[in-house]
Amino acid sequence: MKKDNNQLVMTLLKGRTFIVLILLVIFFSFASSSFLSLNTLTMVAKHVALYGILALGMTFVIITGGIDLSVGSVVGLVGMLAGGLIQEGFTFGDKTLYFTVPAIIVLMLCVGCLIGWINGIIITKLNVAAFITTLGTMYICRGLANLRSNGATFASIGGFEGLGNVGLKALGADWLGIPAGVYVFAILSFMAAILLNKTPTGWHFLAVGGNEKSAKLSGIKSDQVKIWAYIISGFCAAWIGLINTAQLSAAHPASGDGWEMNAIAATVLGGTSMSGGSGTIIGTIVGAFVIGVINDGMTMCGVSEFWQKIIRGAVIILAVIIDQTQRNLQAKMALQARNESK
Amino acid sequence: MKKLSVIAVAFAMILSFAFSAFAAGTIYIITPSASNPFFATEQRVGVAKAQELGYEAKAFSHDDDAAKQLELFEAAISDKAVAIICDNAGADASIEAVRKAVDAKIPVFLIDREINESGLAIAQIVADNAQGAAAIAEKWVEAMDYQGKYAELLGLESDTNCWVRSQNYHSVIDEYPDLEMVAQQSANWSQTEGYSKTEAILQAHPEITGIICGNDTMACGAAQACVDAKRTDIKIIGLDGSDDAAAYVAKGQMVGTALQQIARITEISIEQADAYLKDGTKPASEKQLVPCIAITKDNVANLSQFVYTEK
Amino acid sequence: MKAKIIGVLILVAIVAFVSNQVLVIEKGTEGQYTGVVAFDANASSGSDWQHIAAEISGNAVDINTLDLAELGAGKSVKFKATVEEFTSKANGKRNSITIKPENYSGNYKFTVQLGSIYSGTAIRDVQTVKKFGDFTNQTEWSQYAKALNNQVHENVVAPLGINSEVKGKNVNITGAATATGSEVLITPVEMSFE
Repeated sequence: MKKDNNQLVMTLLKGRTFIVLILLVIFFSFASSSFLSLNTLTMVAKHVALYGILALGMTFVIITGGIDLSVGSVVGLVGMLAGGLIQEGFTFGDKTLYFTVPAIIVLMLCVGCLIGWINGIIITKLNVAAFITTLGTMYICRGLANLRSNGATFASIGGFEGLGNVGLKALGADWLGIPAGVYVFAILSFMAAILLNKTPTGWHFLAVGGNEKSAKLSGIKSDQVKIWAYIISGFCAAWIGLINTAQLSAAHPASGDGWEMNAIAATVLGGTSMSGGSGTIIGTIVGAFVIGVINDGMTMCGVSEFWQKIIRGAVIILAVIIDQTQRNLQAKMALQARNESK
Repeated sequence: MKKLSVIAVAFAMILSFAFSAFAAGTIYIITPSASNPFFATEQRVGVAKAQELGYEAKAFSHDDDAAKQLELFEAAISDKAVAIICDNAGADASIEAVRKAVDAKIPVFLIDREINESGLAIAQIVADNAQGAAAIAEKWVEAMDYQGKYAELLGLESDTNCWVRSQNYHSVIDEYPDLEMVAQQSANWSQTEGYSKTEAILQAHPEITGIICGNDTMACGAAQACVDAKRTDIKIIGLDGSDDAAAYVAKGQMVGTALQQIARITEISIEQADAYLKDGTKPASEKQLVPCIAITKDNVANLSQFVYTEK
Repeated sequence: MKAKIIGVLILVAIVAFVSNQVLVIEKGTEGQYTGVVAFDANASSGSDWQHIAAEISGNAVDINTLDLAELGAGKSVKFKATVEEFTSKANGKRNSITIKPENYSGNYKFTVQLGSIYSGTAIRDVQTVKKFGDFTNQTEWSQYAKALNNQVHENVVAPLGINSEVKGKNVNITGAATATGSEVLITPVEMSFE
C-alpha cells in the first residue's frame, strides 16, 4: 500500500512541470478572458521560442556539469554583427562586401559556434571554471556588441534590393500564421532530442556530467564532449541573435541582456540537474513554456512587475525543492526495493 | 479545510480580475523601469489619469530591452487593450512593436522619447531633450566662465537619448575652445556608478572644474562624490528635473538640470488617447515637442515631482 | 583523423558558399545601389533660409504692441532701437548688444545676440517653412535649428562687422524674440545701423 502511494507520488513528481503548465493555463484562462485563444497561444509560443532555444543549448551545457552565462551577450553580438553586415557591409581596403542573407545566417551561426568553442577550450584545456569563463565571455561579447556601432542601433536590417541583401526579416515574420521562431524552435528541439536520446554522443553528454572519471575510463573524450556542449549552446544563441534582430527589425546592442538567466531557469524547471548527469529536452521545452505562460499570463492579468519577479523567483526555487524531493524519494524507493528483494 | 481556503483565495482572485474588466477598456502603460523616479512618475500619473477618465490601466516596464517591449506589446494586443501609452526602448528598435499594435488596430501614443518613423503612432509627445540639453549646457558654460577642463558622464551607450543629450551638450560646449573635456565615461544612468566614476575621475584629473551628466541620477551621484571630496568648486549639470537633483541645485551643489515635463506629457497622452477613443479625434500633429525648462538656483523652488509651477 | 577531414570539408563548403553569396562594391558607393541620401542640416537650411527670413520679416510686429510676458518660446518682432552697450565674451564668440527700443518704457532688458555662437532655437521655432514632423528625429530637428543660427551669422551679422563702435547708434532690427524672466533675447534676421 505504502509502495503504491510512493509510486503514484513519483509519477506525479516526474510529470510535475507538465502538470504545473496545465494548471497555469487553466488558471490564466479564468483570470484573463482573452488568454485562452489561438492568438494568445501563438504569442506565448513565439516568446517561449526566444529563451526556449537558448535553453536547448543550455541543457547540453548543464547536463555536462557546466554553465553558459555568455548566451545573452552572444545574442546581442550576433545581432549587431548581422545588422552591421546588412547595413554597412564589411569594408576591406577600398572595397565593401555585402553578403546575401543566407550567407549572413551561415556566418553568424559560425560566430556563435566559434564563441562556444572558445568557451569550451578555456574551460577544458586551461581548466578555468565554467562560471568564470562564460562570465568573462559574457562581458567581452557585450562590449564587442556595443563597440560595433558605438552603442547605436542598426535600423536598416531589411536590406536593399540593390545590394542583394534583402530577406532577414523573414525570420521574424509569420509563416502560415505561425512565427518563424517557433519553427526554428521546433526543428532545433527535434534535432536536440534525437542527439541526446538516440545517438551514442547523447549518452556521452550524460555520462560526462554524471561521473566524469568513469566516463573517461570507459573511453569517452570528456573534453571533446564538453567543448561540443558549449558549441551547441553558442549555435543556439546565434539563432536567437538572428531571430530577435529580425523580429525587432533592428539590431540593438543591449539585446539579450540577462536572457541567460531565463534559459537557465527554463532548463532547471525542466528537471535538468544543476550538478549535471541528468536532463531531458522535453523537460526543458515544458520548463520554457511554464516561464512563458507565467510571464505573459501575469502581464495580461495586470500583475505588477515587481510581483512578477517575486513569483518567478519563487517558482524556480520551488521547482528545485521538488526536484530534490523526487531524488530523495527515488533513493528511498531504490533502497526499499533492495530490502524487499533480500 | 486548508484546501477550501486555497480554493476560496483563488476564487477571490479570479473575481477581482473579472470585476476590473467592466471598465471602458484597458490602457497599457509601458515605460522603461519603475525603479527610476522619472519613469515611476509616468506610471503613477498615467494610471491615475486613465482611471480618472474611466479606464482600467496596467503599467509595465520593458527595462530598455526592445525584445521585452515587443513581448509586452504583443501581450497588450492579446489582452485587447484599447490603447497603448509607451516610453519606448529605442528610436529604431521600437518601430516594429508599434507597427504590430497599429496592425492590430490599437492606437499607440508615444511619450518622452520618439521613434524614427512617422505615420504609425497617433501621437509622439516628445520631451525636447535636444533643446533641454542645449539650454542647461548654456547655463553651465556661463557658470564655467567659458573656460576650464571638465568630464562627462554618459548614460547607457545603447540608449538613443544618451547620444541625443551628449551631442546637444557638445553642440553648445564645443564652440568654446577653452573648454576642454579630459574624461568621458559611461555611468549607465546609475547613481552608484555616477558616484564611483566621479571619484575615479577626480583622482585621475583633479584639475577639472566641471562635470556634465546625461541624467539626474548620475548627476546626483557625481554631486555627492564632489561634496564628499570637498570639491565644491566643481560645476555639475544633469537632465530630467528630479526632486533629488533639485535638492542639490537648491544647496548650490549642482548648477542645474533641465526639467522634462513628464507628468504633463503623460497627462496629455492620456487625454489625447481618450479623445481618440471617444470620437476618433487625432491631435493636430503626430510629433509634438514639449520643451524642457532649464532649472537653476533661481527657479528651483518652482519644481516638485516633475511639475513646474510658476510662483 | 576522420573527424578532422570532415571538419575541414565543412569549413571549405562554408567558405565556398559564403564567397559565392557576396556583392563587392567600391567603398562609399552604397548610395548608387540603395538610393539613400544622408541627412544634411546645412544643405537643408541653406535652401530654406530666404523663405524663412522673408516669413519672419512678413510676420514681424512692432515690439511695443506686444505683451512681452507672452513672448514665451518666440515671436517675430521688428523695431528701432538705440544701442546701449556692446559686450564680447569667450574670446569674441559670444558677442551681443543691449538695446533700448524706441518709445519703450517698461522694465524688460533687451539683448541682441551677435554670435558667432548663438543660443536657443528661436529662428527655428517661429518659422513654419519646416516643421518637426519633416525630420526623422529631434537630433535632426536640433541640428536644423543650429544650422539656421549659422545662416543668421553668415547672412545677417557677419557682413556688418559689428564692434564696440556701434554704441549709441540707432539700429533697425527684425528678428525672433524670446523672453526668460524680464530679459528679452533677440536673434536677428535683418539688421541695419543708421
